Amino acid sequence: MKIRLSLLPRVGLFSIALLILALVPAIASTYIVTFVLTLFMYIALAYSWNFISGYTGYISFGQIALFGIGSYSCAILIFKCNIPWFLAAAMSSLIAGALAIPLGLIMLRLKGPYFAVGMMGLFQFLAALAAIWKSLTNGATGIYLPPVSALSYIYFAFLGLAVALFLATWKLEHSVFGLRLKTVKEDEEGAESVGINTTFYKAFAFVVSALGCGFAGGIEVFYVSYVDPTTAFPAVLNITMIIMALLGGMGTYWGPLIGAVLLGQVSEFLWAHFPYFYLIIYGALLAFIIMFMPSGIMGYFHKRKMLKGGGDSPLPDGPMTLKPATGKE
Amino acid sequence: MNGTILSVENLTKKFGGLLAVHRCSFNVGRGSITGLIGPNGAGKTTMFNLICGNLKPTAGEVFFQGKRITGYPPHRLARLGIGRTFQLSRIFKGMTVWENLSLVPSPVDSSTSSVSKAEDLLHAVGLGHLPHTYAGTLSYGQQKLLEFARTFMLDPQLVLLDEIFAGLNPEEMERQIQTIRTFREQTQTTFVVIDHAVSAVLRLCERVIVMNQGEIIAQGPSQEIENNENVIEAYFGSSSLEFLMEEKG
Repeated sequence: MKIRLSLLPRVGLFSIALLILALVPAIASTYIVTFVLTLFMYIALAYSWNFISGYTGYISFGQIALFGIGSYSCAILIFKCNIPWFLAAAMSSLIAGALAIPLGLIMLRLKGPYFAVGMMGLFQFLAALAAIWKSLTNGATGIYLPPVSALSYIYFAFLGLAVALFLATWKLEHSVFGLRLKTVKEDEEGAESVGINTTFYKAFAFVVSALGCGFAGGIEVFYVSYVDPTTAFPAVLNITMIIMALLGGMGTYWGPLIGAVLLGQVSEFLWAHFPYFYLIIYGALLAFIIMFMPSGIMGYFHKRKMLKGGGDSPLPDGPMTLKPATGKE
Repeated sequence: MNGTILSVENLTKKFGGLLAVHRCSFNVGRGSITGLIGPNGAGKTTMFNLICGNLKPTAGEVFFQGKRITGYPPHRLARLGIGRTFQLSRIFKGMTVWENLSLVPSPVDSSTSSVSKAEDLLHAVGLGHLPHTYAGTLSYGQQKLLEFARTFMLDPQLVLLDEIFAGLNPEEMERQIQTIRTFREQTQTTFVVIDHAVSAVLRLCERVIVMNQGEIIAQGPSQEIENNENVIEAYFGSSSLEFLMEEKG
């Protein structure tokens, strides 16, 4: 891959930002570290959701099912097989990804609201299964794990995951592969008619999303040192990750980051200052955003650019102007 | 004409109790322009969907370049060299004109680079000055032209055009006919065209297939079809046929 000069300032800024974030555990209070690592988890989950729902338009109301699969896989690997936690988290990411292949091929046959509700059903089904399958999951009693030795491990694990998913999204946004993935959202039948295997692209996005969710679940379970059906399949987090991506702008690469950071801050602030009215204000704020910025913050800017009549092609080999007509026809 | 490129044998499609296409058979010669006409609900678009894999036939077979392709998924047929456009154009409206073309997977044996191919195609259909315009902001006619150009990114052997003239004014229609003819001359592509503008279809096509209520009621050279009694009856009803016969004396 050739390095383009125009990218250098961005690479520089990115490195400085990473450096500052890497220093946080060394200098900040435990409260700040806990807060920031939770933000990283939100960012990772919002990007994971963005892969499948933002790019292919298959809105999933149950992507947290894969977070749950990751949580349980990691807990069982640590508890029963005595595998070191980070390796266990990485393996649970792969387990979630592998299970996503058959699950995706079944669920992605549903379209529009049917897929959304179908995924919600899958999430409920798995939560119920976790409660019943006592020999594997210990049912509602849950599995207890040894406590975390250092918070900074968790911090760096979530930071790494969030950065990896951000970079993957960035790469996707600047490739023909990503453009083809977006055709699924634009017009699936049209995409098929020009030779794009939409089933493959959808399944790919679903699997990448599962890898992210599964990894996050694995890290989270080690962080809280405990898993039961409600912590592995948290209904509130399921909605939060969707709303974060929606707020920032789904199908964009800055959207999930902006949405997660903004919403994470706002909910923390509201929770600290208005403990009784926190959820009421939060709900009203979300309703306001959906009503006035339905395509999110990044989507809002994108629309303005579209109406102005055109933009730069993000493709590396897209010419900015075409050579004059060759005269044939 | 040198051989058959597309061959449809006893193709049948049932939707519940409705026979949308019933035992239809026809051949399309390589390099020809064939018209497919018929009143509303005759089964023309269903026929396209069966050929292009969007629908699976109840019975019958489709052969492309001598190879059995019945039941292949649409994307595979596209890669084999069957391009199509839709009644309502299915371009990617949230992407630029340039992106619409450049995302098409290039054929395995393609000799030209997809960049220069896309440039040539955009100029050929008169969209060369709008590469970075979002497709959704183009006019209706321009969107149809973009879809037409996009199809040719596949280096197709056969292109099926569904209602290519719909919504065009006479001048645009004339230009569209010219564009199709130019493309045929330069790329030796075979065309099958559906449209309700019967006179334009008869003028553009060497052969015409007429469908009515799911069955092929006539096929042959355009001049023969023009005077075919069954065709006039299908379009205007039997009483008008008597009327026309009386008129002719």
